[in-house]
Order: sequence, then C-alpha cells, then structure tokens
Amino acid sequence: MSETLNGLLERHKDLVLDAWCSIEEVEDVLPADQLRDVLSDVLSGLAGALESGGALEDDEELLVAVDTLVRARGRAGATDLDTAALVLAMKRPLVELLRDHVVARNKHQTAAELVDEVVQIGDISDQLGLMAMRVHLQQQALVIAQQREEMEELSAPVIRLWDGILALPVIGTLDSMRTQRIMETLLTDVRRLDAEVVVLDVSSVPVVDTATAQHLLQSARAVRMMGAECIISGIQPQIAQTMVTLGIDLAELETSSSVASALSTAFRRRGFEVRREAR
Amino acid sequence: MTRVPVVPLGAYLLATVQSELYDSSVTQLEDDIATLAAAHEPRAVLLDLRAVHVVDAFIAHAIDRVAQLLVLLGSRLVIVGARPAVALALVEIGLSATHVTTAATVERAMEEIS
Repeated sequence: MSETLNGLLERHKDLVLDAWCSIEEVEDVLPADQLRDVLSDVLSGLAGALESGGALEDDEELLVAVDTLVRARGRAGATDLDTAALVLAMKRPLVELLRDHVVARNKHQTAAELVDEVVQIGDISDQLGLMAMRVHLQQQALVIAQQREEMEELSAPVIRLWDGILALPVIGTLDSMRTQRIMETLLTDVRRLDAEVVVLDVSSVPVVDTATAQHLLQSARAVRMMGAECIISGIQPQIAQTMVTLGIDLAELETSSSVASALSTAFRRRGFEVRREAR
Repeated sequence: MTRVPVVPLGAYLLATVQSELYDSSVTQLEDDIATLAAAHEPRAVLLDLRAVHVVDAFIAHAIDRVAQLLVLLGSRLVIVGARPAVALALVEIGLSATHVTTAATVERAMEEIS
C-alpha cells in the first residue's frame, strides 16, 4: 500500500507540486519559482524517504530539504505558524491525488484500504510538520546562543585605561562558567595589550559563590604569573565575607575600594604622578 | 630533545626556552640551573617561557622545585612571559607569585630586580 502512494507521488509529483504551490492560505513570502524549487526538493526527499521505507525524520535528503525550506522562509520573514501551515497544506494535494487516482483507474479498493492510505498521508504531513517545527526551534536556539555569547562578551569588556593599565569591569551575577570566560579574555588581553597593571572591578557584582570567588582569585594569581599586577577593586561586603570564609591569604591579594583608588595605585606603580597644575 | 640553554648574564642567569618544554628537557634544565646557580651565585634566574604554549603538571612542578631550590641558594626565580595557559597551569599547581617574581619581558624582569 505504501508502494501505491510512493508510486503515485513519483509519477504525479508535478501535479502535487502545482497544487501545493498554489495553496491560497499561505502568504507568499518567497518568489514563486523559488518556492517551487524548495517544495520540489521536499517532495523528492519525501519520495526517496518513502522508497527507502525508513522513518521520515532519519532521511538525510528530506531533512536537508525541510531545513532549506524553513530557513528560506525564515529569512524572507515568514512567521513560524505560516511555515507550519504551508508544510501541513501538502496533505490536501496528496489526498486529492489519491482520489483522482482511484477514480481514474476505477480500481476496486476496499474502503478500509482507502482510509488506511488517507491516514498514512495524514501521518506523513504530520511528520513533515514536526520536522519543520524542529528545524525552526533549532534555529531559534542557535540565535539565542549567539545572542548569549554576544551578551557575555559585552558584559566583560577589557578597557585600556592607560598605556599598560587595563580595567575589566565585571557586571552582573558571576557563575563559574562566566568567570572562566572572563578569565580567558582577561589573560589573553594582558598579553595582547602588554599590560603591567590590571584593575579587576567587581563593584557591580552583588554576590558570588565560593567556587566563583576561588576562580576570581585564580585569575588574579594567573595575571601576576604573567608578569602583570592585578588589583581587585570594589569588593562588595558579601563577596568579602565569602572570601574570608575561604581562608584566602590576603597578603597575596592587592585590593582597593574603588576603580579610582585602584587607578591611582596603578599610576604610582608605573611611576606616574597625577597632580593638579597650579594656576 | 633540545637542551634549554642557561646563560650567565652579569648578575643573572638567563634560561630561554626555545620551543615547548618536555619532561626530559625540563629535568635537564633543573640540573643545569642548580649547578650554574651554585657556581655563579646569581641575583636571580630568569626563565623565559615566551615560546611555551603548554605546561603539564610535571613541568609545572619542576618549575616549582626550581623556584624553591633557588630560594635555598639565596637567589630567586623570575618567570618571564608566561602565556595565559601556562600562567594558569602554574597557578593551578600552587606556584604562588609570592614565591617567584614575574615579568612580561626580559627587560622588565631586569628592571624589576636591579
């Protein structure tokens, strides 16, 4: 029975394609010929998948075709609902094809067989719909991941305050993963910008857990190991408590209450003198 | 195995690692620094790690041992030009910047110590 459907689809692909392309409910965001191309690929993929007899969602060619369709429509500004409607709209041309086929061949088919085929068509279009949805969700997840990455980069910018003096204002809640990233950026920039003093400003970080405090400290140590100095500024009371609880050797830690005082320490270390000119 | 050259340079010893460090070369380096430090009584030994990208625990511990050994000999170790990954590895095994001096370049190391 599956052979029947498969054979039908192979022979009358253009018919189905024509009907599918002219579905009226779907807003045509894509140019007609492009839509036809991608839908044609989907149908070919579908025929191939039915031929092989495996699960639709495991078929590589079909997956690529659905992926292309969803992407192309997504780029053209179609909503997810619209795309889903388009994919599901394939059901009607298929059923109609089946109907015409039965009429044309005047074949004796039991009602049960016919219903089975219609049900199968329903299954196919459902699965295609699900595949399209999955591709769509994957793309959205990708966009979210990218945005998250960009946000993380923005949330820990390394600023060159002066020749050889860097500042890294850390903003927002710190977890171990973010601290790790910040640490990597910081250490790379220490080398790239040839820093002698680094001010790690945590005044906008309200609270950290012990693991993160340990990480921060490790960054400070690593900066020193690279031959630069690290001043941690603006430690909030809660973070101070966490650090004290950790039993950290405070002698190896240079701290200061604000970025301003850290900067003046940094200037002093580098031999600069800042003074107001007498007028 | 390439042997890391340890060169007496006035009041210092300069050991410049030319490529990556390996277990055998770092063991040899330990011996060389110990012998030369005893002979020359340098003010400090500069270990230039600019060319090193990777340091495993064995090498990190070897560097730690060199640092302690130099303190016993009345000198000290200066880590020069550690890359981020190297710095992290050294910190990881507990080599503290209070036990060694650090500098980004050899010139700065010399300024720092003199």
